[in-house]
Amino acid sequence: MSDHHGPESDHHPHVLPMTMYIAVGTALFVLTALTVWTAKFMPEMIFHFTKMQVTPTIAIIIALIIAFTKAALVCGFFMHLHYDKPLNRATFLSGIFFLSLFFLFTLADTLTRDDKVYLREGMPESFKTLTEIPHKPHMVKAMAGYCHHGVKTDDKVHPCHYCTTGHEDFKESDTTVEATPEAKAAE
Amino acid sequence: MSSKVDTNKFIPRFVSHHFSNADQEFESCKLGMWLFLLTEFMLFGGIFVAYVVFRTWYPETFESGAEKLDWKMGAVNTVILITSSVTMAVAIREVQLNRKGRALALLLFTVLCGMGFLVVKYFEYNHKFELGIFPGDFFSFMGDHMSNEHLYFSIYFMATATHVLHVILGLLAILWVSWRTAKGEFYEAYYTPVEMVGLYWHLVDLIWIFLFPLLYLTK
Repeated sequence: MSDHHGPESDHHPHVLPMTMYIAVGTALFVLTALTVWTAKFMPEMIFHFTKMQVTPTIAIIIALIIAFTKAALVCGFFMHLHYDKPLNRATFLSGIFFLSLFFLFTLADTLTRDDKVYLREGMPESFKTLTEIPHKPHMVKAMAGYCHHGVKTDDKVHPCHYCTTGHEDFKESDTTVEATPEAKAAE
Repeated sequence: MSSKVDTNKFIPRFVSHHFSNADQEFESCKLGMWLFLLTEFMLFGGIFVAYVVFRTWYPETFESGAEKLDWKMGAVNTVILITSSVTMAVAIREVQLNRKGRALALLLFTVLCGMGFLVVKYFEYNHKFELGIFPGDFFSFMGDHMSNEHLYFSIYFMATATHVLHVILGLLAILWVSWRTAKGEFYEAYYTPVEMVGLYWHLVDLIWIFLFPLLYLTK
């Protein structure tokens, strides 16, 4: 080490009070208990008193608010960003910025895809009567000759949006069922 | 050679020749570490984006999948990781105050917590595998499930296994700084590696803070 010929290290640490570590640690434990309680026990209580259901969307929003609070405590105090040089804070925030771009542009695509495109061709009659096919293909049994998004499986050149690898990967035995009598009659 | 540090307890550290002073050396290391942590944000960001995309498409699948996880085990692991994060942060404080013995004890306790996390995770994985719950094509669960539930477990195993990999690397890093602390290489004027390993360990905690509610608690 001494062959670097530099001066002896004289860095002076910024020692933080022990009470900070205890307070932040306690807050993290309390918030953990809170997130478990809001997810596992609160919905039953609310239902018991008000007969109202906590929808999954509300549950996720509550869980995320608590998670972000915990994350802020860890980043701010344990990772010292609250006391740190502005450069380190700016670096951290630039990461958050690019992460949000990642989310924003991906979701701008996946949340706005036009479901009607799947209704265009080759849809069996029985499928057309279902109002929510393409968005929830896992809830619909596919029929012979169609993938479970209702697109003809012999069309290998243009896979539907959900069958990303193309229809050649389609395993007919997995998802096909006998065509219903009504569908046969329609054909 | 006159030294500012008690050379019976600690090995004096000299500033590397390409830095003008100790503060500059410390701050440069820290900035570099933060840049590395940003790449970690992006790595896990990809997994979280996959989670959000598929969750918005197939909410029922995710609710059904989350029901198959044991939230109590997840909660125990959350408590273990937060405890280890606290002890890691306090260990750095002890190094800053030249208390070698205490720092070493806290670092080793942090390692113990991390190993506890891995043990709980082992039992969780083992239980899933016994039930035939594997990611992707290997999903062979025979009980009640959605037809595309392998999707949920692909994300579950990808996210938790990547996180476990980080826990293991973090533990090795903590053992490395423990060894150097025991040798007396770290004291108030030089503790950069402990600080950086601490930042890494907090990142591991940070990721779990999001994984736990999103994977275990959403039903």
